[in-house]
Amino acid sequence: MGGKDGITGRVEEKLADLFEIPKNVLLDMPRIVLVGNVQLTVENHQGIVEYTRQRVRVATSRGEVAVEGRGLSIGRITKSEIAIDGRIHRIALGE
Amino acid sequence: MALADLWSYFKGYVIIAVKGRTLEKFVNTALARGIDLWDISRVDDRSLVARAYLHDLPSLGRILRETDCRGRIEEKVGVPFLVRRLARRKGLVAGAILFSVALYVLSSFVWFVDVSGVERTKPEAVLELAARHGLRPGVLKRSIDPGKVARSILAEFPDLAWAAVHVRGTMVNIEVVEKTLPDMSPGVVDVVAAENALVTNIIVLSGEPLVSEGDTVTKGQVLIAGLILWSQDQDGESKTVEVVNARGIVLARVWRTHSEKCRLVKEIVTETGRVARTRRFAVGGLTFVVGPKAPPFADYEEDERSYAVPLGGWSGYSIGLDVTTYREVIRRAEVVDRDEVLAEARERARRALEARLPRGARVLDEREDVRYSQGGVLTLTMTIETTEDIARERRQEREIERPDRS
Repeated sequence: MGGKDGITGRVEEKLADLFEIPKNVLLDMPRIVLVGNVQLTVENHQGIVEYTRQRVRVATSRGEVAVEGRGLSIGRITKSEIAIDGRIHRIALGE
Repeated sequence: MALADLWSYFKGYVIIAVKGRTLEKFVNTALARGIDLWDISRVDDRSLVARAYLHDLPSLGRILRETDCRGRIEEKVGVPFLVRRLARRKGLVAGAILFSVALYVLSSFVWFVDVSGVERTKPEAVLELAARHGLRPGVLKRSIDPGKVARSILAEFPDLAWAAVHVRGTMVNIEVVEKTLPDMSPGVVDVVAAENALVTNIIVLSGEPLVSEGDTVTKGQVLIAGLILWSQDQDGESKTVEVVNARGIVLARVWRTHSEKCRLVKEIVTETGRVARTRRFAVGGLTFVVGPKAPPFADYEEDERSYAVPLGGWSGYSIGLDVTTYREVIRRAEVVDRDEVLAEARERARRALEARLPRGARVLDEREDVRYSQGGVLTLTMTIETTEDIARERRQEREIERPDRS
């Protein structure tokens, strides 16, 4: 969420660095795993923004993860995890 | 993932098609309510297909209404639906249960009883005895005690050495072993020659040897004779008789020969593919011939087939058809490789001879004689010399007579 960009967010980030804790654990950051060019898993997501066969956009605490490709489908979707299957051409991370 | 698939199959799931403008909202709302969706694929920009658990269907309906989407169930998959379908077909389920019960009930009876291992004893006698002890076709398997039946069979048949009862499914097998009784028939045992041979070594264990080393014997000749001894007491009265059966080992040389004939010229017949047929129709006393009267080829093979249909039983006439087929052939004589033929003949002869050798025979020598005769025929005669035990015990009915007392 937006609150993470404030002063507390930066302190938490520093703390995570100091104790070498994975950032997604402490900071509610998304964890994105790409398997070859056929599957992309986003953990800690906040829902889908757009879903077509050519493009899937997923909301996360750090903005949107946009995946472009061919024949995209959502293999599995739960509260914590979303798996996108298909031929992936491009991934964009942004606000 | 296969395990997860199996799990969802057990829980039952539906494939739903969702139509609407706000499909992303639908997915997100479902997600927020904790409804699992999977294999979501977009069909076009207004619709998607997804899978969801059966138990989530009511809440999914609510979400569809809230998000202004329409849903339709495309397919129902899984065990709950299977059960529902079966519940509707009561006859089928009842039949399946009836079948299982019938199978169980029928398999708890003994259907067949058989006896194995009998040679002298009558199997019927064993079966009858088993029946008296409660083992017969039609009884419950639980009611029989295999050990007890086996013990009573053994107890009532004196010439059985061992008996066992095996229950295999609906079949019961009574396995018995008969006692091997000593041969008590009258007469005396002689040792005779099994083959024509030259005796090289004779070891007499009992009896009186009639041949010595170096003798030539013929098949069936007595080598060691059994004895009948009379013992007399003081009065001179002969009282007891003792039979000495002949036993011994007679090693001898045996020659066995075998001849193999084979041709050195092989005729190869090749069909050229040209065929001519002559058909003869016979109706009553008349004959019509269709086709060549004589074979049109220089060299040919022919075969003839006849068909006849009787024309009414009273007339004695019939319609007949004879078809003679001539096939043109080319004959060619081919000289076969002599060494190859010889090697084959030798192999065949050796195999034939080895099949005739008794166990324990030791081969001393192997000779062969090859003769060529007219017409390209080769004759191979093989002789093998062995040393073997030619002693065979044979019981001779012999009058046990009182010896002359002179």
